[in-house]
Amino acid sequence: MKTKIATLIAGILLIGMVTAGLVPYLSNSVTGSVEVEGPVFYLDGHISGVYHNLLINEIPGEELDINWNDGQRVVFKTEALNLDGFYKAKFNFTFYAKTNQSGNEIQMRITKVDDSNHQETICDSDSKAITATINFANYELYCESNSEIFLNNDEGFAIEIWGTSANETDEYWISTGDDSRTHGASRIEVSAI
Amino acid sequence: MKQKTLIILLGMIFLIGIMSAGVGADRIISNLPNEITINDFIAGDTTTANFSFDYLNIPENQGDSPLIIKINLSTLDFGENCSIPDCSVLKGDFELAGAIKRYWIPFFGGFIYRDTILLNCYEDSSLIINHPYGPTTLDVPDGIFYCYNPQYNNLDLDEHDEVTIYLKSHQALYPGNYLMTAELFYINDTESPIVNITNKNYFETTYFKQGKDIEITATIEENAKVKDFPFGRIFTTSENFNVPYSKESEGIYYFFRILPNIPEGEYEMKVFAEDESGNKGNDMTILKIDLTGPEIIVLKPEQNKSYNNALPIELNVSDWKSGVDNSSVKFRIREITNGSICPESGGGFNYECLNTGWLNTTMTSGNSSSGIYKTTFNITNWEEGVHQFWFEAKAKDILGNEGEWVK
Repeated sequence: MKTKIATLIAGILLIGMVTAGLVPYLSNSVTGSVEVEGPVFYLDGHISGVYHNLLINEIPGEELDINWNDGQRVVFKTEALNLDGFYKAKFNFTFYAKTNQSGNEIQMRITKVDDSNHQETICDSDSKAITATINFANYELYCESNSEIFLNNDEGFAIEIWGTSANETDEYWISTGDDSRTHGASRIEVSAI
Repeated sequence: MKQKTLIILLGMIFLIGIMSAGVGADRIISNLPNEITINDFIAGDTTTANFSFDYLNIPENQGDSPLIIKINLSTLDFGENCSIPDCSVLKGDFELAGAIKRYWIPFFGGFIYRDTILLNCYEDSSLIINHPYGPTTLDVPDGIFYCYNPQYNNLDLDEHDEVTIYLKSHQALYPGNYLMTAELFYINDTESPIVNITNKNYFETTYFKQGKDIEITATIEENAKVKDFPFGRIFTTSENFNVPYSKESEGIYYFFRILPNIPEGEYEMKVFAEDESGNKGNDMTILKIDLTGPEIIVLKPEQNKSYNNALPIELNVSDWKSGVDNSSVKFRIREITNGSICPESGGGFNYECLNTGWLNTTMTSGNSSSGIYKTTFNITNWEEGVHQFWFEAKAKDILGNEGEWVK
C-alpha cells in the first residue's frame, strides 16, 4: 500500500442538480490521489472441503509447505466471489518452490470453480523449470484470459498446479503463508489487460 | 515476467461555492485543507479518505445546520486502457461508510474533542433522507453516494469536524484511476407550517360585536421551530385588527381579543405562523359582526279594534343572526291625552295618565331566531269609550342590539 500526498487543485464546480431542499455549503475544493490495483490471491495450505484455500487479499497466518508428485495436481480455490463478471485479466503467479530433481517443470492453470467443484479453464501458463532442490526459490508464471470472464454468484477462482513429467518419483514443494524462509508469500496478482 | 502496474489516481474534490440555478448557497464551510491523504488500496479491500473543516460562528451561518455529504466516484483517464465495454462506476462497485470526529472550537483556540458519530452512505435510487426539517427525495445516479447520520444531522457553530470516509470495492473493480468528489450540503426547510383553526365551527355559527371577546384555537404543525409567536388577524375593508397570541397548551395555540368597533358584516379572520426558515402558513375562518336588533311585528292589539276586559298582546319577534334574547321582549302602553303621549313619569302638570312601564311577554312558539311572544293586559278598569294609546314593543338580540316597534 502506498500513501500519496494529494496535490492541490483549486477549482469551482457547479452542482448540476440540487434536489428540493438540498443546498450546498460554500467551501473550498481539494483533490487527492490513490493507486488502486487488482486483487491478490494468496495460497493457503489449509484445506476447505476438497481443495486448499486461496485467500483474497489476505496473507495466511501459518506457513505450510504443500508437496505433490508428478501425476498429481494441487488446487487452491477461493470462496465464491459473488460477482457476475471479471475483466480480461492477466494472472501473475509468484511462488516459492523446490523439487527433488533440478530441472523438473511446473505448470499452472487458472480456472473458475463453483460450489460443486465443477471447474472451467480460464487460461493455462507455460511450464517453468524448477532448479532449487534444497531451499525454496522464487519463480513466476502467468497466463491471460482471452476475454472478459463471466461468473455465476457461486463461482470463485482456482489455481491448479502440476509437474509436467510423467515420472511419479518427481516431487515438488510449494511454500504457502508468510514464509520467513522465503520472505514472501506464494500468490496470484491480477491485473487488467 | 513483467508486472504491469497501473497507477491509479483517486481524487477527492471538494467543491466551492456551488450556485445552482435559482438557489443561493449562503452557509460557509471553512478551513478545508489544501491536501487530503488517501491510502492506496487493492480491489476488494478497504481504504480511507480524510478531510476536515470548520463551521464557524459567522453571520452567514446558522446553528443546528444539517450536514449531508455527497460522494461522487467516477473513472478518470481510463481511455484505451479499459478493456471492458463499460468501465464507469456502477451501483454495487463500492461500499461506503464514514465517521466524523467532532470538536468544539473554544474562544482561546485549539479544539476540544466532543464525540464521534458514524455516517451511513446510501446509493439507493431513489433515496429519501428523513430529516427533521422534512423529507428530501433524491435521484441517485451510478457512482453517487449520500452520507449522513440519520440521528445526528446538524452542525453547531464553532465546530471542527474531521471526516473519514471508508471505501471498499469488490474484487472485480477495474484497476485504474478513480476520481472522488465530496460535496457538503445542508437541508433547507421549505415546508410551511400547517396551521389549523380548530374552532371554525364556533365562528361560523356565532355573531359578535364590539366589546365581546373572541378566542381562536389552532394547531400548528412544523418540522423545525415556529419563529417568535404566531398571531391572528381580522381583515376588514377599512383596517385590520390583530388577535394576539395568548398561550400554548398541550399543542393548542390560543389567540384572544376583545373586539373593537367593527361595522356589521362578515370578515376573514386568519391565524399566521412562520418557521425559522421563513416559511409561512395560515388558516382562515370567518368573523361575523351583528349590530342590528331584532325585527318586531305587532300582531295584537290590532288598530281600531274594540277590546273588553283584556288587551291581547302578541308580537312576532325575529333575529336571524344572533337570536332574540327572550327575556328582553317587552311592551309598553302609554295613554295619549290632549294630544300628548303620557310621559315616562306617568303624569304631567295637573293630570295623571296611564303608563304601564315596560312589561314582559312570554314566548309561546318558535325559537330565538323567530318566535311569537304573548301576554294579556288587563283593561277592566278602563272607562268605556275610545282610548288612544301609544303602544311600544322592544326586544334585544343576544348581543344586546335593540330593536323596537312604536305606534
